[in-house]
Amino acid sequence: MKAHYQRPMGRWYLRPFYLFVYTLRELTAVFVLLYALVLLAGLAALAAGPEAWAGYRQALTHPLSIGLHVLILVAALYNSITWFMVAPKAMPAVFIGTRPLPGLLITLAHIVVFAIISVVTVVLAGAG
Amino acid sequence: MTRFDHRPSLESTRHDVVIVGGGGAGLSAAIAIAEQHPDLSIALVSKVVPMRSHTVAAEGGAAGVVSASDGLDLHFRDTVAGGEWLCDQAAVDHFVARCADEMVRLEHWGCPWSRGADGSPAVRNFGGMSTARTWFAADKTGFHILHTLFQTSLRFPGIQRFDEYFVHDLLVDDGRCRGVVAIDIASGGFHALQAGAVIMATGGAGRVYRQNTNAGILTGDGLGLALRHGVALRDMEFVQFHPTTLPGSGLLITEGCRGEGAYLTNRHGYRYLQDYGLGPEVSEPAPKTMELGPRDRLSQAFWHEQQAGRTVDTPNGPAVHLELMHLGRRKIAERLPFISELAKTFVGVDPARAPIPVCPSVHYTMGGIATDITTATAMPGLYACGECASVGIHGANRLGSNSLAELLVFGREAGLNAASFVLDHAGQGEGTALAAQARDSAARASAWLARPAGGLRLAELREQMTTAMQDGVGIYRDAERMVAACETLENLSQSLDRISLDDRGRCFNTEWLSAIELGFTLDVARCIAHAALNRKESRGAHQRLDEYTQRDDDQFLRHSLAKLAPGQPPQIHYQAVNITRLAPGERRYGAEQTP
Amino acid sequence: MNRGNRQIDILISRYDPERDDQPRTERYTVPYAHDSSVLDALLYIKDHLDGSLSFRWSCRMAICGSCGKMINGVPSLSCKTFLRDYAPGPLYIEALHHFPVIKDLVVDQAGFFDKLPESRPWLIRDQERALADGPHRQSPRQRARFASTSACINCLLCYAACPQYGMKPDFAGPALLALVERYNADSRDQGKAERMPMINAEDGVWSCTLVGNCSAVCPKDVDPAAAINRNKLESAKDYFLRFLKIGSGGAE
Repeated sequence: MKAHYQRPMGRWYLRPFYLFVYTLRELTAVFVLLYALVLLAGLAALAAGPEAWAGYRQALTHPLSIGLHVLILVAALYNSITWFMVAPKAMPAVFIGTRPLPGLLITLAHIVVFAIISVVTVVLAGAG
Repeated sequence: MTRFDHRPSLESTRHDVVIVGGGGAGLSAAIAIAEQHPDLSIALVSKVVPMRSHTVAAEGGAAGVVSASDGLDLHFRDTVAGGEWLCDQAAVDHFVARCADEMVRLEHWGCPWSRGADGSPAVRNFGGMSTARTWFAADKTGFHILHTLFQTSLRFPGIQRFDEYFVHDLLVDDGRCRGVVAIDIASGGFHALQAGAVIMATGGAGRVYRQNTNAGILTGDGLGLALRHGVALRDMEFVQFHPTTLPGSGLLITEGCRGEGAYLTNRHGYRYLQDYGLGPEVSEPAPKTMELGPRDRLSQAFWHEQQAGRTVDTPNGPAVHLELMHLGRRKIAERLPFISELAKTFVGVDPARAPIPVCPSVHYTMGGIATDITTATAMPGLYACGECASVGIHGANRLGSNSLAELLVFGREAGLNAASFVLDHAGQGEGTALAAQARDSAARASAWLARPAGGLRLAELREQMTTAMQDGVGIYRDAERMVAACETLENLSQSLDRISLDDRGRCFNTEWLSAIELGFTLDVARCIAHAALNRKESRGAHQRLDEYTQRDDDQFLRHSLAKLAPGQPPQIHYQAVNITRLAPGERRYGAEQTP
Repeated sequence: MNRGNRQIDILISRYDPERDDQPRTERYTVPYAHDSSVLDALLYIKDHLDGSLSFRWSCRMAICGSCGKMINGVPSLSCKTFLRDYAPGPLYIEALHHFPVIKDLVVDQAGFFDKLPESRPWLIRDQERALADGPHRQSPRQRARFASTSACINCLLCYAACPQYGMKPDFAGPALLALVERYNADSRDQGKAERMPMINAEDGVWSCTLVGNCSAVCPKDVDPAAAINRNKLESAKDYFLRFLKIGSGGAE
């Protein structure tokens, strides 16, 4: 009797589509990290003095920087929303009587809170 | 390359008890032995992984007397009258006294019984039962029982599993059962399991019919094995048609629906059961009334409605309507979630909005390998329990929820009695004659793979068999059609060795197994048809349209016993019924019921 | 059974260890009706076209868990997947991914079954209750806590959907970890501590990267991804508590 056939994994991270969605979610974390580095650089510039801070702010207006920020924004949104989608699975179960709280509700609640905080932040930033 | 090895491997092992079948009965037996006799070695042999066994598909529940207003005597009377007095009354007494304990035992093992508000297990109404005594886990009771038993069995190192081993023969020495020979399905090699005792727990034979609720595995293997070794099958003519199944596929729509209050209506929206001695029409479920009548009466009522042209046409044949809409979405979700899923998936009906089309299909083999009250068969060392056995509690018509209870009560009983037998007969093992027997048996099974091509197709023979049974030995029977069925079956039986297989390999050759199964199924079918033809009366699930439309206690208040000799039609004999305390009377339901 | 008058082509990945080194694909044409399932098609092929095709099946009603296959790349129960949804075809059927193939559509399930006993999937009590004491009390609310995880039919679709299991066959995997959670969440059970080592292990919950696909393919809404990731919380808590205990022990 010959051995069983073991199918190779192949490019599982690209196909089927739902695994590509997952791969993207994991990849977008890199952009979130990138933005953390941008912020860190800002902090370092602030600590270094007014000139460095001005230089940092100047650099932010460069078209390349703006392009990068748009990219980061899109990636971060994808990352956040896909994580909100799995949030019901990562938190303790919530029951109302004998019925579990629908996962969709939990995801929506996350998105709503996220949207409110974003708007408030933008308004506050604008006011400042 | 050689595709076929003429000298197949034959392994051999020794065990104290070999259990054939890993469903509810087999697992109950295994656990009972492992608990009581941790030093005994148990082999649990099953052609499927245990949790695939058909216990998994039981839906409605398991009977066990618990409430203060109920009593063992009531359960006894319901069962004996429901079986139209063809029950062994000592066995029924033994059974009803042990049901509730088994339900509690399962609870202790983690079975998720549905609960009342006070946290105690809930019970529901079931057909033919005079009060609510059916324990349930929503509408997946069998599923939960089987998984609880399987998972609990993992605790016991004494239970050695042989998953996906197909038993094709018994080892018999000096009239005593000494083990089994099995095919290791994955490799196609043979394995002789010698044992001090063997327990058959292989389930029923619903696949004998074309339209049935049964899984593909229910080919009557255990019954066929017993027959071939001279052990009689009892009361095989009593085949249960379940009144509410999906047309075409025969998928089961639980009696639990009616226990919860569902209605059966004909094409005019009329609750027709009131015309068949089951009225008065009640809006809330009432014991033994209307939709809570016994299964034989309900299936027969369908037949009459069909004859009268009052059924509904579906692409898969005539049906009536099972209405759950008035129960409300919430109750359906809580008590009948699986039915809801089945109806949506398989017939595209949301039962909260529309009726489910249903019709009767073959559901349960009420007869089986004849055993005494201890589950011992006539062959020393061979025990049988569960649907493959006839311990005598179902008679001519089984009440719903008695079979899950049966496989727990008598599964345990079989385990303990087989273990005692082994301990009493210790040190009488004999290996050499058995080894030769196993080799011969393996060679016979292997011969299937060496047959010339161009013969008959397996599926065609199977289809002819199921059609003959469906047409000849259905809900209503007459001599002419039963004779025709018997003739067809005898011819098919002769044709069996003209089948040739497409698959000559050994590795996971399911065509080979199907061929061996068909041999068993055909033998069982022959016994059913002949036993039915010989019973010249109407009783329970055996109803005749010819001159024998009445029950005849003088001639036929007797069990039938079918035996098979090579090359001959089945021989039918009769055996007295053990009536201890409830004299034969009339079965009454609806307004006229007597407790 | 109503066989219908439409036709569809089915491609099946075949593998016979007695003659093939690699799987090969064969094409079959089958008739179908509105209610024909993929399982009906496989049975038609076996009965009428090619008896050598091997596959597991049994109950036909999505409760025994036997008939999982990859159908157009998605792990599915063949009894509750319908041909009408794939018209005009062809559709492609393979053995469940990530498991070794024994023959045709039959896989070796040892990767699940052999791991079962170590997860201790049975009710554990400090003191076994006597029959005479009757059943435990359990409210409908308490029962609801493990209603979804106790619905697992062990069909193993979730393993075929999990790339982590594909890369790490030692990973306990979705169904097994859901089963652990089923008993841990049962108000009658007292065995959580015994199951913790298995949850904490390298091949326990921490091998899960929350792809979430196990829950997406589950035919019984068991939601194994939730069961696993809730146990990450438990595992972290367990680690932290043990850390504190060792810490305080050292201080004495």
